[in-house]
Amino acid sequence: MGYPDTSFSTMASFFDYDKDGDLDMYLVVNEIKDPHTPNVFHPKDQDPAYFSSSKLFQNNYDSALHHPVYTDVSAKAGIVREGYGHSVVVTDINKDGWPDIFVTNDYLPNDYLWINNQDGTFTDQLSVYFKHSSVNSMGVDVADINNDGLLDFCTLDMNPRDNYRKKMMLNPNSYQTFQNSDLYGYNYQYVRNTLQINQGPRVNQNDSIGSPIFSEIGFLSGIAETDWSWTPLLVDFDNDGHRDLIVTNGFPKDVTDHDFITYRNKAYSFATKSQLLVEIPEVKIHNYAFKNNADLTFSDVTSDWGLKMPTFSNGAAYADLDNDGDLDLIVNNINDEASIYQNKERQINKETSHFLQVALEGYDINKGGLGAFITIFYDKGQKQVWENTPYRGYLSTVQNIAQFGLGRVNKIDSIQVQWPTGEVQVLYNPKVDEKITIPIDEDSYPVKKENNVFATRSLFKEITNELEVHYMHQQEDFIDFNIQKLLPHKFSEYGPSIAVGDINGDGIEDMILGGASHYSAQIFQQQANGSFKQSSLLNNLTYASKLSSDQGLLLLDVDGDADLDLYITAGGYEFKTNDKNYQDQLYINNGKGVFTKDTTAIPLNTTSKLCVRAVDYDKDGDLDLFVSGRVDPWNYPKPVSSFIYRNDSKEGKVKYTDVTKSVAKDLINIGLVCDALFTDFDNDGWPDLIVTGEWMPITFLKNEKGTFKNVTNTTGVNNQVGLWNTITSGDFDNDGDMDYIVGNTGRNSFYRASDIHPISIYAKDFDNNGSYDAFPTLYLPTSHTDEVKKEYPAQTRDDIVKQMIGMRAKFQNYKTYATATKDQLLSKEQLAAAQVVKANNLSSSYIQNKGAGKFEMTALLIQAQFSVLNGMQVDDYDGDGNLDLLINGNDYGTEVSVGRYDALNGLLLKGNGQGQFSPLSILESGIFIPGNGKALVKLRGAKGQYLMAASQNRGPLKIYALKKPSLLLPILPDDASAIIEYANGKKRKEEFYYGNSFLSQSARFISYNEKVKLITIIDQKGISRKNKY
Amino acid sequence: MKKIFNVCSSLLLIAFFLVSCSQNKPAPLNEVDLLINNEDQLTQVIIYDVFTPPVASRIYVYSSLASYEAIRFAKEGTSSIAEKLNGFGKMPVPEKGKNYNFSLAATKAFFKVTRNVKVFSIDSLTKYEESVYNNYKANLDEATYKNSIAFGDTVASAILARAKKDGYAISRGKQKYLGSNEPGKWRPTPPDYLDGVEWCWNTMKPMVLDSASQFMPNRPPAYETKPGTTFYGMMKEVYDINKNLTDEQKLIAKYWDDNPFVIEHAGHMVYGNKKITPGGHWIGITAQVVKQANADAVKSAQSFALTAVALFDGFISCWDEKYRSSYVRPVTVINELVDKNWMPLLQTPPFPEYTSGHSTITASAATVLTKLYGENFAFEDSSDYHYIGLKRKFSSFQAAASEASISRVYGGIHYRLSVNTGAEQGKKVGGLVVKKLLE
Repeated sequence: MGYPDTSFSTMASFFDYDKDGDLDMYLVVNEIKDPHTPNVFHPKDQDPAYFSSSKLFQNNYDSALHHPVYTDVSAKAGIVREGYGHSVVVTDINKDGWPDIFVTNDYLPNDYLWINNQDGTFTDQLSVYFKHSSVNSMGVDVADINNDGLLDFCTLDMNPRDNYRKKMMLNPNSYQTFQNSDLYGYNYQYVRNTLQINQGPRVNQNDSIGSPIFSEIGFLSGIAETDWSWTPLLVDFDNDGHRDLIVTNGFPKDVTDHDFITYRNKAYSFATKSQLLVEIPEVKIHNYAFKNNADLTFSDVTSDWGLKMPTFSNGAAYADLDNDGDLDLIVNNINDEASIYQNKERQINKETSHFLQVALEGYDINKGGLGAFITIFYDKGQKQVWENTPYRGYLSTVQNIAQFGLGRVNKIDSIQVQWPTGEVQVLYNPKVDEKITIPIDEDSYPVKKENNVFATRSLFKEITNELEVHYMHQQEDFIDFNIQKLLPHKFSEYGPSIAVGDINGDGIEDMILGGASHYSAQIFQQQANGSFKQSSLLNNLTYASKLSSDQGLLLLDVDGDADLDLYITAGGYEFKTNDKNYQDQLYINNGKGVFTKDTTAIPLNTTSKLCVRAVDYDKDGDLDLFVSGRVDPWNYPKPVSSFIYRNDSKEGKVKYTDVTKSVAKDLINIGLVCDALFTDFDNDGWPDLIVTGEWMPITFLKNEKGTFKNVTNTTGVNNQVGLWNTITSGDFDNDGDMDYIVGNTGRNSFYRASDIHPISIYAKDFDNNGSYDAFPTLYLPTSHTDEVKKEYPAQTRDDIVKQMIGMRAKFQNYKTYATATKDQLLSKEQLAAAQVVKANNLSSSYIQNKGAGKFEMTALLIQAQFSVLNGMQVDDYDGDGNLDLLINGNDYGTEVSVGRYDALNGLLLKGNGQGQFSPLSILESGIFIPGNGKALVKLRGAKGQYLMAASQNRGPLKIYALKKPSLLLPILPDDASAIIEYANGKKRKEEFYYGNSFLSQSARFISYNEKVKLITIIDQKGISRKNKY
Repeated sequence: MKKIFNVCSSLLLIAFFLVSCSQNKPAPLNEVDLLINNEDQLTQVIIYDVFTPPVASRIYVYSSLASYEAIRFAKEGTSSIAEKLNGFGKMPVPEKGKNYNFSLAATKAFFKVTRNVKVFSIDSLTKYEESVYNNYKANLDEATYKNSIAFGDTVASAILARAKKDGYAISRGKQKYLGSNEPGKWRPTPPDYLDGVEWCWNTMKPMVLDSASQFMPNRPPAYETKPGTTFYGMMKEVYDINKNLTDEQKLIAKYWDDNPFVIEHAGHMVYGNKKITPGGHWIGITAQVVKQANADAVKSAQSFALTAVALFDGFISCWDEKYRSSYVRPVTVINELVDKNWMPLLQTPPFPEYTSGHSTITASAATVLTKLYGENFAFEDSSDYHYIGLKRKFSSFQAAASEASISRVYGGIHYRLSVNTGAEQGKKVGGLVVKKLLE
C-alpha cells in the first residue's frame, strides 16, 4: 500500500483529487512537540516535512499487483502548513467539479480550506471563503442546512453554554490577538462553534462571478455554545426534510479551569505532573441535540431527544441500524461503554417522517461512489442535496447511504446523481419510505458544465473601476477598549460617511467622503463622462494637524446662495470628554466646489457627535440642523445631548444658533443617539423628528409648529429598547404615510435580549479613580445542571479586574466570580447609585405607520439579523411598483471575544407592497459589500444611470449601477415629499431628505418607470405641483 | 519532595500549638524570627495573589517601613527612616510612662499596612496574626498588650496616609498598554501576549528619588536589522548564547527567574507556576542575612525597610525607562529575523526590555545591603528553595547581583547592554538610598 506513515495522525478521508478514478487519501496530523507551542504566532507557511502538517497521499493503482499504492505528494501538492488537525471533510465547495478539502486545526493555526487547483495542487483559501472561524476547531461536518442546494459548514469549539463554566474556562478579551492576526495574516478566530452559511458565489466588478462567500451565524442559529465539543453531525434525524445537528462533547479533565491555572494549592514548579493531574477538576456534561427549525435557527432538543446522559463523548456516527428509515446514533465515550441511541421517529410519527435512502454503487476502484452528488426534487420545487462521503464529524465514518427526510411528503419527482466523473443520471418518481440502490448507469450522460462566468440576471452591477474610483478608506487603529475595558464596541470606527450633491454647479452629482483622524475628507467630482475625479478637501498642511475624526457629512445651502455648503460633525472616542477636537466644522462653497472653513457660524460644542440632518423645521425658508450627540468619550454609556441649530443667517452672514433648550428640550441628555430622520410621521405638513440610539426606544418628536414634543410614549413602540443604529423610510405598504426601517445589532451576537431577559449596563466611577466603570450584563443559564437564566456580568473575571481593581479583592478566585450574579457583582448601595441602561430588542425591524401617531414594530426577516445594519436605501429597484430595501452592514469594532459582526455582504430585500420582504442572493442582487460596511447612498450618473455608492471602514468604496434603465426626476432644494401614482391605481408617498440612514446623504431625485402616471411634488411650504406621464 | 514545602513556614506555628496545648505560658517569641516570619507570610500571600513585581515592591516597602517605625523605639536613639523619605509626615512616638512591647507593635503595624495597601487573600494572614497576638497576650500584661497594639495601629495609619496618595489608586484606572507594531518597539510577547504591566509606574511617588527619571539611562541603540549593526549584534548575541547554554548557565537563569507567574502550556492544559518576585527574592536574602549576622530586632527591621526602599525606587526608576524607550524584546526580533521557532529559556515577562528590571532592583538592594553588612559578606541563599528547590552560595551581595543580572541574558529575555545599564541605574538608586538614609 505504499510506505508506512508514522506521523501522529487523527483522521483520514478517501477521495479522488486528481480525477483519475481511484481514491486518494488526505491524512490529518496533530503532534505537539517541545519547544513548539501551538499558540504562538508565526508566519503561516512552514517548511516541507514540518512534523505537524497534514498530508496528501496519491493513489497509483497497480493493476499488476491488484492493489493501490499510496505516495506522499504533500510537498508537490502545496500541502505545507503548520497545523494541529482534528478532522477533515472533502467537498466540492466551489462547484467546479473538483473536490476541495476542509481541515480543522486546533489551537492558533487556522483551519485549512484547500481549494483544488485542478492540476494536482491545492491553495489554502480559507480567508477568501470565511471571514472568521473557530479557534480550537475540533470536528466538522458539511451539509446543506437550508435546502438551497449549497453546502454549509459546522465546526465545533469549546465555548460552554452556561455562565459558571464560561467564567471558569474562557479567556479574557485580548486585542493583541486581533493585532497579531493582522500582523501574521491569520484569519480571525473565536472560541465558539461556527455555522458557515453558504451565500453562493460572490459577484465582482462588471458582473463577474467569483468564489462562494460564507456568513457565520453560530450565535443566531443557537448552536454556538456546546462546551468542549468534538463531533458535529448534520443530518435529518427526525425526517422532516431539514438537517438537524448532534454535538458530542466532554473531556475528562477540565485543564482550562482558571482556578486550577492560577490558584491551585502550592502552585510551584516543584509539583510533578501527576500531582497536577489530581488537582484538575472533572465534570461530565451531556451531548447536545438541535432540531432544525427550517429558518436558519435550531432548537435545543437534548432532553426531548433523550440525550441528557452526562458522558465524556468524542467520536460519533449515524447509521440506520434497525433499517426502519430513521438514523440511529452511535457515540464513543471515554473510559466508558459506547452509547447506541435508537431513533424512534418512524415508530412514533410515521406520517410526518417519510424518507428516502439512496445507496450508490460506483465502479470497481470507487465502489461506494465517493464524491457523487445526489439531488432530489419534490413537492413543487423543493430540493435536497447530498454529497457522498462518509468521512464526517470527528475521527468517524458514517453509514455510506444518503438519507433524505421528507416530512409529510410521500412523493418524489426525481433523483439526480452526478457521479465524480462528471456524468449525470436521473431517476424519475422513485418510491419513498425505502432504501434504493442506484448503480452507475451506462446511460448516464456527461453534464453540460454550467459555465456561468457572468451574473447576467442580477439587478445591480459593480462599476467602481469603470468610473475610475480607486478609493480605499484608511484610518489608524485606535483601541477604545484600552480605556474602558468592558466596552461592547468601539466608537472610533464608524467612518466613512458619504454626502452627495452637485458641489460645482455643473449639474452633475458629486460625492464627499469623511476622513478619519489625520485624514482629509475626500471629494469625488463626477465628470461629464461619468467618471470621478478625487481630491482632498484639506490641503496637506492642514490635514497633518487634523486630529479630529469626521463623522456625519451634510451638503446643504446654508447661506441661500444656491450652492451646497458642507457641514462635518466631529466625533469618535480618541480624545477625552469635551476635547476641542470634537468641534464640528462648516465649510462655505464659493459656488465652484471650493470650500472655505467658517469658524464663527456654528455653536461651540465639543460633544462627540455622529449624525447631521437638515430641514426647515420652522418654515422660515432656510435649512436648520439637527446634530446627534453619540457618546461621552471615555464615559460610556453616560447620556449626552443632541441638538437643534436654527439657521439665523442674515445678508450672507451665516449664523446657526443652538435652540435645543427652547424648541426641543427633550433632546437634552437624551442618550446615545446614532441616527435621526426629519420626517412628517403624522402627515400634518410639519417635518417631525425621529431619533434612534443605543439603549433607547425609537424616539418620536412631533413638530408642533416649530417646537418638538416627545410623543414616544403614545406611539405603541415605546417599549422596544434597542441599540438602534440607523433609520430610513419608505411607504412600504403603499398607504400614503411613511413607514420606517430601523437597524439594530441584529441577533447574531453573544448579546441576546428579550423582554424578560434584557441586556444591561451598570455604570459609575465606583472606585472614584477617574475612570467610568461600566459593567455589561446579560442573562445566561446558571450552570450545566441548573438551566435557569440569571443576570450575570458579560465578561470574565480578568476583564472586570482590569476595569476595577477592587473586584480582585471582592472575588478572590474564579469560582466566586463564576457564581456571581449582578447583585453580587455590585452592592445594593452601588447599584442604587449607578447609571442603568437596558435593552430588550436587538432585532432590526420594520415600523409600520398605522396613522394617528400609532406604529407597529415587527422584526425584519432573519437574513437581516445576521449583523449590524448601517447605511440603508429604499427604492423600487426591480420596477415592480413596490419598494425594496438595500442594506450596507457589519461592525468590526466589537469586543474581541464576542468577535466582529461580519456576516452581511450587503443585502437586498425585495418588498411585496405590504411591508413584507424576501431576500435576494448575491447572484440575484449583484450586491457584494463584504467588509465593514458603513454609508450607502444613491446618486445619478452623468449618463443618467441610477448609481449606489457604498463605503467600508478600512475597505474600498464601491459603486453599483442599476441595470434596468429607470427614469430619474430631480427635485428642488425645498421640495419635501411626493405622491407617486401608478396606472393601476397604486399610490405611494415619498419624502426627500437632507441625510437619511447611518452616515449617509443621498442625492435628491425620484426614480420612476413607465407604470407611473402622476407624480405630485409638495415643497416645504406645502405648495404642490404635478408631473403627468 | 512534598515535605520540603512545609518545613520552614510551619515550624513556628507548630511550636505555638504545642505550647498552647500544654496550658502553660507559651515561650516568648524570638523577635528577629518574628520579623522574618512576618515578611515570609507576606511573601506567601504575594505569591498566591500573583502580584506583579512593581506592585509587590510597593507592598513590601510600606509594610516594612511600618514595622521599623514601630520597633525602632526598642533601641533608644534610633531615628525614623520614613521622616527622611518623600511624602511622609512626622512619625508617631510612644506615650511616655506607658509600657510597650515594640515587636508586637511592629507586627501589628506591619499587617495593618499589608491589609490596607492591599493584598487580597487575607485569611491565611489572619490565622498567622492571631497566633502571634495570642502568644503576646499570654506573655504580657493586659495594659502593655493593649498599648502595643494601639501604637502599632497608629504607626500603620501614619504610613498608610502616605500610601493613600502615592499615585497607586489613580493609576489603577489607566488604559491598557499594548505597545506598538513599529519596528524596534515593544509589543506583547509569546506565549500569552499579555498587555504591558504597570506602564504608569513612573507616576508613583518615589521614596528617595527626586523624580522617576532622576537616573535616566542613555538611549538604547537604534533598531537596525542589518548584520554588523550594534542592535543586530546585541540581538544575535542573545540568540547565540541561548543556543549554546551550559548547564551552569541554565541553572543560573532558572535560579534568578523570579517570574511570579509563569504560564505553562501543554496542549490545552494550562497552569501557572508561581514563585517569588525579584523583590521578594531580595527580601528573602535580607532575612537570611539578618539571621546570619545576628542582627538585633531593630537592625533587622531597618535592613528590611531599607532594602524595600531600594527595591521600590529601583522599580520606579527602571519602569520609567522601560515605557520611555518601549524597547523590543529579544524573542520578537529573533523570531522575525533569525529563527521563527525560537523560544527563550525563560518566559519573557510582559513589559518592555530596556533596562532590565531585575538588574536594576538587584543592584539597588545589593548596594544597600553592602553598606549595612560589608563588601565581603558571604551567604547561602535559600530564599527560593520552597518554590524551585534550589540554593546557591555567594561570596558577596555584589557577586549575587552580578549573577542575577547576567542570568537575564542566559534566560534569553534581555540584551547584555540592558542588564549592564540596569545594574548601573540600580547602583545609583541604591547609592542615593545609602546617602540619604545611612550617611
